[in-house]
Amino acid sequence: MSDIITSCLQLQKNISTNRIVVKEINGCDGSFIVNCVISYCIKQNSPLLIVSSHNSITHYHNVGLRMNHNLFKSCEAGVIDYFDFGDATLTNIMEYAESDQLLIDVLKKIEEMQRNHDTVNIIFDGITHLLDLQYTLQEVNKFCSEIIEIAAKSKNPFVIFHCNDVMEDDANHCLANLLSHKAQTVVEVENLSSGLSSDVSGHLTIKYPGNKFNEEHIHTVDMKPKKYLYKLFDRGVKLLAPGTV
Amino acid sequence: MRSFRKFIDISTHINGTKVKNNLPYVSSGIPSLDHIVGGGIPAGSIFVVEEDVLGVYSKVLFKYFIAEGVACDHELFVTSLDEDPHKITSELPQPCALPPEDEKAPSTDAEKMKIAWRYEGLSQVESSFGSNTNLGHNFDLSRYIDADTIEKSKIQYGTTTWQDSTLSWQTTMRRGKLKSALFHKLLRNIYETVLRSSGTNMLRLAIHSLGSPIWMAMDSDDTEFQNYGRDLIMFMYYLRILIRDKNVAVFITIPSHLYEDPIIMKKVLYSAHNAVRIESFAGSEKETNPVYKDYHGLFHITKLTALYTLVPFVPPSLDLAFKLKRKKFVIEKLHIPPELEETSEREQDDITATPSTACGGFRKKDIDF
Repeated sequence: MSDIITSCLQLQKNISTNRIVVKEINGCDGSFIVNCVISYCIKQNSPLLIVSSHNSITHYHNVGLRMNHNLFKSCEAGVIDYFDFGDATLTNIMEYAESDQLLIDVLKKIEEMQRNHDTVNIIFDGITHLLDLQYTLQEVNKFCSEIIEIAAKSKNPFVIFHCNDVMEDDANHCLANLLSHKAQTVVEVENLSSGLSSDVSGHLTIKYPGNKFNEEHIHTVDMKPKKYLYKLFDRGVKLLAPGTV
Repeated sequence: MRSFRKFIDISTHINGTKVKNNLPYVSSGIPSLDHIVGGGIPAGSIFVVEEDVLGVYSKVLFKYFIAEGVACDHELFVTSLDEDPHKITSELPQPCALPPEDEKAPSTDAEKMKIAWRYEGLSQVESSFGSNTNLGHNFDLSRYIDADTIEKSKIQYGTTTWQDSTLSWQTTMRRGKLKSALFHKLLRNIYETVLRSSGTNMLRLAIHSLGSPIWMAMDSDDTEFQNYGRDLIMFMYYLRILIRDKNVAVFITIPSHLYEDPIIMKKVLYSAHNAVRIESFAGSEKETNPVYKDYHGLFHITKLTALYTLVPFVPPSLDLAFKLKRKKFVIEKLHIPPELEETSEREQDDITATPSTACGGFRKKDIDF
């Protein structure tokens, strides 16, 4: 059931450095997309680095057990690696160490993985937390650009930035827009405005800004986004066309 | 070699917990609250209560959480700057074996409704939640736990005081560092408490009125207004990181109504896992609205996160109200009483018949799928 998400993200296509941004709007939780991508990488045996600053690896592992994959086992096999950014920051503050080195540590981790694998895919979960930790917008933007640049040294990797868009006049929104400008695929997840529902979990909108430079879309002035409703299950996600509940 | 192994989690043996999705859940002390948030408060999560304007009912919830911890013999960490935490723990509701009985006013013959015979055999509509839960204790608000029991319980008190509110931990804004000594000291307290905790027992962290004016004193003195709330947001994030995947449940009350900028609370709640908001009728026009005469306020569910699972809990209803009875705090589904009196007013002019909440006011355009 997670295949529909990965096909929407065009992970199967050989796109050079496929940059994907997942935006959480209106307090919606978009971590199910990260779970689907992890499931895809494990099944395809595709190396993946998870930089987690919002959800823990144990959370992804437990969700993955229900989705029929074992994240810890893949980590032991060396296919998946992770960098707990949140934990590293907390350790720094408790031990009175400087946290300037952390971003460099993340880049070094990517390079280390690239020495062992031809392709290294990257997921940065909760990139907007860097703004909460008083990194400036410029620093975070530059950091993301460096991640993309280093990732591009691999063969057709994908890089996913998972961010929380709080409100329009906020730095988080600016960061989400900056990343969207760099992205080939932008996924927006949003809660239902009318409240919670047991039939539908939320709205999912997918935009492909990267496609506008493709030959088939070069004469298209305004590419329409694809809008879906999504329903979360224990074992995956189902996408529905609007109105077909 | 088997690909999957079943988790054998020792937390199944922790008193006062129930395992769900490979995660121990603890009771908040209020069965109806446990029911509407998905069975309790999961370990490794932060539960935020956005306080009512006077902070009366949020303090009741706070006391329930601590009392439940005392009853289950859990480790406790209690802190508050607005009130002496020792005073709070001296007024914890006493556990009782059976649910405290509801007070029922004697009904007169005039009040008895006539019901059609075909409906006489049907059971009464259940408005309350959590009546048949097997997690947690029942408490009697009219009686307090005795001082000896409190003394013997595993309660640790936070060492932050209001005198720390004007102290600066960092003189300049440094990346990742908390500026206020208050937040830094509390974080360090909690860090050391979590490290010291055995891991074989639940640790309950209870922080009362986090983000009240005492906590924000340093930010208020700051000349750069965009720094207002930064320490609170950072503290919540660090707390989230600190307690995740551990046998720690955090219960925080925050006076969110004091924050004009909605961005601050949204960022604070982004780090929380579950959140509710209490809207008390005291002092508002709803206090005299006959529709709400049976309740003391509305209870809003602000956030429910899926932890260790893909699917977040969907509560049975979002139209919730609460009442503080003499012996217990109850959350119920909001029911609009029937309008039985004949009036000369036109229905569309009768503003008391239809509340501003969504209950009973369903329109097709409200549904967005």
